[in-house]
Amino acid sequence: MGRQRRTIFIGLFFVLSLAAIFVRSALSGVTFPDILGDGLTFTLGILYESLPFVFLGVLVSVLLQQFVSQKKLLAILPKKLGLQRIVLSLMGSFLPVCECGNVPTARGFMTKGLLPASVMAFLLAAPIINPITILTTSQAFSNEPQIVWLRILGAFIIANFVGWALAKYKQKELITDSFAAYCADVSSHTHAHKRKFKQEIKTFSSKFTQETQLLLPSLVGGSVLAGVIQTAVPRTWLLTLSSEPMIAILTMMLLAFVVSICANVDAFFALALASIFPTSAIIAFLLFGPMIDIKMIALLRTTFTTKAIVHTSILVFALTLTFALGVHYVV
Amino acid sequence: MWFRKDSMKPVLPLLLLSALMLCIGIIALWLTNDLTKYIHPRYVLFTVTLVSFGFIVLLYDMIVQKPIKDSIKLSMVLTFVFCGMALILPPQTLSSRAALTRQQSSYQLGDVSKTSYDEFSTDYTSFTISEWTSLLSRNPPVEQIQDKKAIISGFVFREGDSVFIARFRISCCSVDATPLTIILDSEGTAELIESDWYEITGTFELRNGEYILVPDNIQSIDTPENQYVF
Repeated sequence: MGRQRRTIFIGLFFVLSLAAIFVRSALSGVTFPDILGDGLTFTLGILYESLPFVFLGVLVSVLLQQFVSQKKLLAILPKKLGLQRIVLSLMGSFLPVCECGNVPTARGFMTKGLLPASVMAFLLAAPIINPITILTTSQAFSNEPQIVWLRILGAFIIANFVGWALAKYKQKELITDSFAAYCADVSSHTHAHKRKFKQEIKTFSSKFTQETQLLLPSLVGGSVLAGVIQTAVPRTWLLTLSSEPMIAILTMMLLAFVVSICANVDAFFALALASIFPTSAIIAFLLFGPMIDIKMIALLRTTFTTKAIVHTSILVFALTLTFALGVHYVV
Repeated sequence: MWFRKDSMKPVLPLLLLSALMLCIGIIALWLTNDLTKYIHPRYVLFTVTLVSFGFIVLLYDMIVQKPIKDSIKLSMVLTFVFCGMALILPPQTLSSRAALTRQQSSYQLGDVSKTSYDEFSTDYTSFTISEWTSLLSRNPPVEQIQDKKAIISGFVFREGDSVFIARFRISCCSVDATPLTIILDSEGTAELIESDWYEITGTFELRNGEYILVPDNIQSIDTPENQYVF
């Protein structure tokens, strides 16, 4: 009976969804007040851009959880934590899933026994040190190749330093109780024997659904918040703050935090501002945004404690500022 | 049907339904050629492929798995309501208000992939607003463009006494939209309606260090299906 009711419910859901699409078509000539229409467009732009990357990250995470044994994963990584962090920070080269997709991938790594501090090095570096981001950055700044190298170097240094700093904490303090329980549950259900194909598919779909449901409220909430700020705060206010190097750098970091744009195309966005802001401020934008922005903080909250997120954000902020100032006065 | 009789706590899989609604919404936008109102065309294939994959897996799970009994939280309800709204509300493009609040210095933007004059076609009438703003950002010599006829389409917005024609350029998604703007001569443009679309034919004049488009002919046009420049 339960299955029959479920089937009816699903059928009803689809009928209502189709009705909603017809309503949408009927309303196609309707325009909203500018501020509301713009806010919705910004929010949905972020959401529709991010969702496929989240699915990709969840796919990678679930495949990791289901098919890669802890023994195998730990065997290919160096035993020394410092070297392990270095390798993880470069792993984005093989897993270019964008920062939204990196959170579920990071969750997958932690279910396999990797330390949260080490995985944070991956989370911070992977959006930048991957072939797609490197390629688009070189395309955008073809006349300034030093920006590409500075971006990679900055990401590597910041990610590994933050990973090193977080390794000083008790690792259990860095992740939420619910995620710790999830990791324990996953490892206790690791099967030594081969499961039937149908059972594997069921397990895969169950994990995929669970991860998606966990991330969705944060993704929607982060997108709404970023969309609201984008609508309410005129960009022109920020762009007047380009005179002093320190103010320019801080302004661009704030813009990166608010705009929440994907790392694989933020170089084109930054290029448009390159004639207004100094190179150091552009570097700050290209480093800070992929690591810490509104959307990312909302996603991190699904896995890491507030303490871990706050400390990480402060460290990334300070290191990015220092690196950018170093670029301004030394390079 | 998914209520526990003892506690009357609903166990509707709100988040699963929200994810499915998002997937349906994105696929429907793609089918009606409206997805590029939100994301750059280069992401369309990737987006539709992954979203379709996600939709199939989530739907399969909803069909074969027993629903997980869980109490409803506010975040679930808000997510569900928002995703439902996203499915019903018609797609919007950005307004002239967004152009005003995002405008950077004129002629700072444009088709940034072009790096030298040689890359521009000699047929200036085929230039889009993107190519014109890119060319003008390089402060070309007056003699290069002063006699060239420009045919530019876009929406109109005003800032103080200045009138602009503009189109938004997107690199990734609507959130990074930046207006490409060209200043119009204020004479003959007083009757232009803000946010309406026009095709303007004219020539450029250098005034006070800035290139102004002086219209010879202004034609009202329908809002194009795709309002952005990519």
